[in-house]
Amino acid sequence: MNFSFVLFYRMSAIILVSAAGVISSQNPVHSVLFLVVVFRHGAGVLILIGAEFLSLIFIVVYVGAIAVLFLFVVIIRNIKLGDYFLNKIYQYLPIGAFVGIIFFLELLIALYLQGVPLNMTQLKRNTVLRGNWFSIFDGLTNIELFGQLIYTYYFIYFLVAGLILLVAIIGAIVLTIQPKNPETGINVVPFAQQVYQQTSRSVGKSVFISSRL
Amino acid sequence: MNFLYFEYLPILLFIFISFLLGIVIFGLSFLIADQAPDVEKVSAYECGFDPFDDARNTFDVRFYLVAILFIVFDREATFIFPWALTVGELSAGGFWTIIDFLVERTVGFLYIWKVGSLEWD
Repeated sequence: MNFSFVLFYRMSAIILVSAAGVISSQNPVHSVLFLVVVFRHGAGVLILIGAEFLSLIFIVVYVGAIAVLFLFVVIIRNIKLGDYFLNKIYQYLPIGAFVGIIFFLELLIALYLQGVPLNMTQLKRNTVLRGNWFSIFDGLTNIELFGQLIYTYYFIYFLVAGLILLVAIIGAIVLTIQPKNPETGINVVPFAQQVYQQTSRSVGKSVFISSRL
Repeated sequence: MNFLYFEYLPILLFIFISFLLGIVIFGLSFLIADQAPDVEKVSAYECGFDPFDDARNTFDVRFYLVAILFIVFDREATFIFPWALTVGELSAGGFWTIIDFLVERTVGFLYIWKVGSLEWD
């Protein structure tokens, strides 16, 4: 019973429990925090298999940027606790099962088929399943390994990732741009008063439950 | 595996101890403090009268844009890290792919700048 064995099973268990917590939590902020736990333990598993650059990049990019983005979405959407009733879950069960099956098939494809082979330096097919990472472990650090492969042999994936990020920039700009009047410099659609919302306020609807102990 | 990544063991110890410290601080304050929640104590305060509306303001979407741009340019930095270490061993093609990538990033950045999304007023 190796120490790294114990660590791996502990991290996997926490990943599974936290992933269940993401989808079943009542409070959306709790869901995002469970997701942060999932990412951190995923990074821990990556250190155990020897990909330490990837694990730290997981923490920097996933937790530091993507989980923050999820939190922004939760804030912008202004989701309150009472919006989520238990009997509404079953409406989404067929679609959820469909999407879940598709992701599971993607997982099987990633394990059993190695994608489009670009050249002869492709890893052997059984390596991922059997987990004999040490037979190909070369004595390089993980960063050097990435550096030697991404920019030369697998440069297509790298450039495609760059293009996807460019499309993401343009998409974000298109969604959030606020056109300005060229003479006055004020927005074309300024922040206006919403008279109906202001006059239809009532005390009963303004107090709500934000968490349950 | 334990022998190869022995240097990461202090980090694991650090994580355990900080986790324990967090549990101790929260747990002690939960167990020892006197808690008698009351409707008046727990409800939101708005100068003594019943609150008009929800305390959350409309959220300016420019913050979200900042978060997205942070992701994109952070990915640029993380792609430059391995290249910076191994550029001596790469062929000429390895050098020019990263230049192409940086040109794409620059095009994106110029677009953002000219369109005016970096303006905050």
